[in-house]
Amino acid sequence: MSTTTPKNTLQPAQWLSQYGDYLYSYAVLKVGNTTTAEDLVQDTFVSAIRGRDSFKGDSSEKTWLVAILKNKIIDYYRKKDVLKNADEYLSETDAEFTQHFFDSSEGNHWLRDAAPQSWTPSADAQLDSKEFNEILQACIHKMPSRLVPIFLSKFIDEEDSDETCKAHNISPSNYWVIIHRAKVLIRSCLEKNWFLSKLAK
Amino acid sequence: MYLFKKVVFNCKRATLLSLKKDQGKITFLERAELSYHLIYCDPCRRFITQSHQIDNAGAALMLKPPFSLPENIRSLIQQEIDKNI
Repeated sequence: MSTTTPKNTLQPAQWLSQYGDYLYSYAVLKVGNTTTAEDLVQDTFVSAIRGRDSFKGDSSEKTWLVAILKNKIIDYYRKKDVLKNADEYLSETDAEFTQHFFDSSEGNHWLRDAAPQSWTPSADAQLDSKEFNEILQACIHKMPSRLVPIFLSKFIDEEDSDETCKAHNISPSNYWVIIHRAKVLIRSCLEKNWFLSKLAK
Repeated sequence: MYLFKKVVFNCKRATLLSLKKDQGKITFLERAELSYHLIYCDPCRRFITQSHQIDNAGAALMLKPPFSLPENIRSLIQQEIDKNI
């Protein structure tokens, strides 16, 4: 038994009620699949209980649990090989991406149909609604799966680019290409399905 | 003229640079290139504003967790926790 009292202690019996929905939401957003998310949450709790001696009490219980879940999600992506051969994948798909949005004969100016439109101002007021979250979720997981982990490390975790490149073992230039493609795609998807649609009244 | 066209028309590059700028990872020359492009380009200025709106929605997402564990799964997980405590 340590003689110093840790700043934070673990209360595993309370975890599910206190952090269950938080961890589950985080996992659903990251992997886009509820069954996988349920398994990841359960694994997180079990790993945390088994590894509780490594908890130093410097961070909060919640931060510690999220860190465990985050590592499990990185492993999940790794097993799916979504970031393998990023160079090859990005160069092979560049022309296809570009032709959807930019006019390469005009030096990559926006195509008329793809250029950002003005959004309905009232759509902004409902950005925390259930409908918006569902559309956002659908738009995230509609993009090529190889873009998702990197995009979400910025979008949800607001992680620094250097940290993401290290965790996922990708080069900075590939990082920016991925972040850019993902943002162009999600902006366009949200524009079509939310900001200009009748859902946002 | 070639350089002019390359900078002024390239929205693909300008939007990528705007994302580097958001994270403070833009170089001095890239910043100049982006600023110059934006003088002429309304759609890219709009892209940047909307991109920030989307980022705000992302940052707010986990403040109120959008999904709840289904009850049956919740009790299975609780059993698993109790077994391991």
